[in-house]
Amino acid sequence: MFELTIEKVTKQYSGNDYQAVKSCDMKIKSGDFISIQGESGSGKSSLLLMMSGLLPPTSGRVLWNGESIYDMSDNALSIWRSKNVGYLFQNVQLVQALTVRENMLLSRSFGNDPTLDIEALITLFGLEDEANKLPSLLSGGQRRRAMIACVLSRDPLIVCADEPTNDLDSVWASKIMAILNDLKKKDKAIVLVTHDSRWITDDQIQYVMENGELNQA
Amino acid sequence: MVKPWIKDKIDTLKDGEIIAGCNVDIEGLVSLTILNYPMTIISSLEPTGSFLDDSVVCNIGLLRNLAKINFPENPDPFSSITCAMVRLDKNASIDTYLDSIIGISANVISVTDLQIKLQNEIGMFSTILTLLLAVIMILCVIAISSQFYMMIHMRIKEVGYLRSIGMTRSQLFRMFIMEFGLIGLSSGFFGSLIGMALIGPMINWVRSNLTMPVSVVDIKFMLIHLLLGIVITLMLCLISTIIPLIITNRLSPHEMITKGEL
Ligand SMILES: Nc1ncnc2c1ncn2[C@@H]1O[C@H](COP(=O)(O)OP(=O)(O)OP(=O)(O)O)[C@@H](O)[C@H]1O
Ligand SMILES: [Mg+2]
Repeated sequence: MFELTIEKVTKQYSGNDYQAVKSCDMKIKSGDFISIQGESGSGKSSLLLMMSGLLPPTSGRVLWNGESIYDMSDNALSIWRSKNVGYLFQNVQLVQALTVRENMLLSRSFGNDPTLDIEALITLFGLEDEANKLPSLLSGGQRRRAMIACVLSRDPLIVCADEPTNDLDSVWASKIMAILNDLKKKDKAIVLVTHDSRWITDDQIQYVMENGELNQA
Repeated sequence: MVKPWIKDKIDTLKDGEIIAGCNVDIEGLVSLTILNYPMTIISSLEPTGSFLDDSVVCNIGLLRNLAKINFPENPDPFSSITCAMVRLDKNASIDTYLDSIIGISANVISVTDLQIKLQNEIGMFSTILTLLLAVIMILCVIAISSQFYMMIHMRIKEVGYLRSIGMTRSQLFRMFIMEFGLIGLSSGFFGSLIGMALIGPMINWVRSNLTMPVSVVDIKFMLIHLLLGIVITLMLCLISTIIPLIITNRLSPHEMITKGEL
């Protein structure tokens, strides 16, 4: 069981005269499925990045079981990220010099379970024919599936998904949402950022973001 | 006194043994006759740039006797001596020695002084060369650093991604140092190899243009310098890797990714 608490988190990017995220509070517990909706530019990605330990907030705290993650040493924060947060970037991120399988193996080496079945994930994401290809040779949808497979290779406790259905056809988009939903059963937590209301369901803890302000729906 | 310039290892001259200066034409000769006395050439001198180049060196006791025998009409054989080489003890003063020779007006050339002068000049050149080398090294570090900075910058998105999946700064450091160390190792090896190939002709050229003797290039020298070349290149590479890495590593993973995407 874990708890990630976001406490009055604010972000003002240097060079901007406005706050992209304004004093947001949120609590994430194991088994939660949280969705954040909002217009483009409302600060969803910024908030998600800050709660994932990837972007230090201008003010406010992110607490992992009561411990402030940005007060950890850089080493401790890196290890915290590797074990606890799987971040699905809005734009696909992979190591370009490694094949899909190698990317997954690399990812697994940072994760919680060194014996996790990579081949099962490859099958789950329909990447059998792409596993030995470099990311640059894949289609946009295949690349996104590969990135999600890489994140799940680490078996993280929280999955932060920033528009995970981008680039995907409706069949694959539904499959991915089902896979994310299944994580709840394994006591993981999911934070979904989307502007597609199709993926918003009643069993989710729903938030709406507007001009940097976060409100529960 | 002339030892640094003698081609072979010789400590004493026996009667009938001579050493020829570099300008004395002894090509093909093993022995020759001086003042009707057979002499054996046991060695010759490297160029010294002094009167020694045109001289033949032999034992002064023998020469005195030969002068008496060959110039009986001359009551003072010493007047036929045009040049004498005197070796003083290490701590002896040249001036005091000269004062002690009464009645001989001699033109004194001190090889020791000459050596000191040469040594000073060589020292000065070495300093200049070392300074030049230091400047070149610094320029190299700057050039390689910016090159490596570019290489890291081109991959900054990947670095950000690796940091986001949990790679620590020290792991990242190690990864790049291994990668760029490999570049350093191979370029150090090939660079030094080229240097080694060039140093032979270069030293020959220096030898033919210098009056001082120059040490001979041997295998050990080559190997030591090959290793030194590799080690120095490797160190330059490491310094050049560490500087851009420190600059890059300050960024948060998200900053790295956005920088790489624009
Ligand atoms: N690296 C950055 N530097 C400066 N400003 C930024 C940066 N990233 C985002 N912003 C600004 O912060 C605000 C929020 O951006 P953010 O990416 O969080 O929005 P978003 O809700 O995720 O939008 P979208 O749905 O289009 O992805 C925007 O006004 C954007 O211009
Ligand atoms: Mg976004």
